[in-house]
Amino acid sequence: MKKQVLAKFIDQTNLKPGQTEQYITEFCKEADEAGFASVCILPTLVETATSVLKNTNTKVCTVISFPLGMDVPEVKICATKEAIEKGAEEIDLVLNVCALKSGLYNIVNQELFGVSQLCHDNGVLLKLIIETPLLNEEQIIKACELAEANQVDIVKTSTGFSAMLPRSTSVEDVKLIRKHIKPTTGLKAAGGIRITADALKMIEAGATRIGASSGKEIVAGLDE
Amino acid sequence: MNVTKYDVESIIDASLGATPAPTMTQVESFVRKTLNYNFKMTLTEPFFIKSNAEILHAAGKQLCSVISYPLGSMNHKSKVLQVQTALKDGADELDIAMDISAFKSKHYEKVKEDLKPCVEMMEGRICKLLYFASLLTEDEQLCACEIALELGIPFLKTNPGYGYSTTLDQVKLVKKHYGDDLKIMVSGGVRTKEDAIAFIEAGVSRIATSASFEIVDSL
Repeated sequence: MKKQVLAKFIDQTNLKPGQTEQYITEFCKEADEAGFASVCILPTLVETATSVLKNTNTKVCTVISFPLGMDVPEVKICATKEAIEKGAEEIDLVLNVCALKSGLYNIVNQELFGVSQLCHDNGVLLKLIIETPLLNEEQIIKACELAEANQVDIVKTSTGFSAMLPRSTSVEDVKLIRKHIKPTTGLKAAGGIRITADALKMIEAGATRIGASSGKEIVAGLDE
Repeated sequence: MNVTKYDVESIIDASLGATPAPTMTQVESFVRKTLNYNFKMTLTEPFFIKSNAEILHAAGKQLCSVISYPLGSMNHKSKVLQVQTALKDGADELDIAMDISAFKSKHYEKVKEDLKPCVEMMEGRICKLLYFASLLTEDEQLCACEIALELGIPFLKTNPGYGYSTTLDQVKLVKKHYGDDLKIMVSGGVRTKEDAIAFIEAGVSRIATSASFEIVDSL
């Protein structure tokens, strides 16, 4: 695989709290130069990122209800609307994992329906973070079904918020999701992917995007 | 200083924090367990306010929730809606995070404008300002104190937890400069009775912890 091809798989990520506008401006410039698919940043920095990346091929991606997902549907929908108004072109929504695990599918459908409609009315790509490290196989399959029922564009494995998670994203997660979503639905592997070999394994297992904070190192490590 | 069991128990905001993505049943059983203690608040995520405020209020207890938590990264309109919804759902107190990127970018007016309508909606209920002490220099910590005082919310919450632990020095810094004018809730890293007592001796008025039962039971 060529370096510029691998770069196109990567959502270059910085979701640490308290990044300055100046820092994110540089981060976005570098991401554009590297040819990454997007930068994934916190909602309060979307305007800053948009001012750097408009008219480039690198998209501005942000996260909604990150990293816990424990907001009511109205708030998630409002946060999505606000992010789109500020220039977000891709939305990574954290699923209400508690609702999923509790069988409250009406809540999950309510948030997914609202967010999905907003995204698609505005030409914005929707990724759903299902948080595989906190789910069993049956719950992962159910999350995929709910994503498909609500026209989610890409299913994303995990927030990668390691302070609350028991493990990173695994190749098995990716294979399981791939089996239960349409071939045309995208799959983003994120959480603990730091080196080239990790990224390539995920792509081989069916990932179409890689979320990583070390995108530059991942691309640099490729033997062309 | 002689710290009694009641001194500790009565200033704890008990949180389920350590359990990621709990089920509704797990949350409810946690909330019911807090009814047996004299905690100041039971602390839950916004999604659980509605179902648990009823249980707590029926027992004469109170519920606190979190806004723009844990990363302080929500945009203004969604943050205002989150406050509005939390209060409508039955929250008695709120811990509101400041826009930490705006703060670190030195846009202090933006930080204040973002918080003002949130504070107004509280209509006298207590809210605490989560100011992310562990991400700030000493000067920045004092600047956050000024913002809290200016907004009329003289109650700080140090850190969000999730790896951001509070130090005794962070508490002492605020106490040294502001004394009783600013109250502090320590949050992040209080796991034992020794931790709790050390922070009380340093001057905190409140302790947020997910080890609430263990701490009180060990006293």
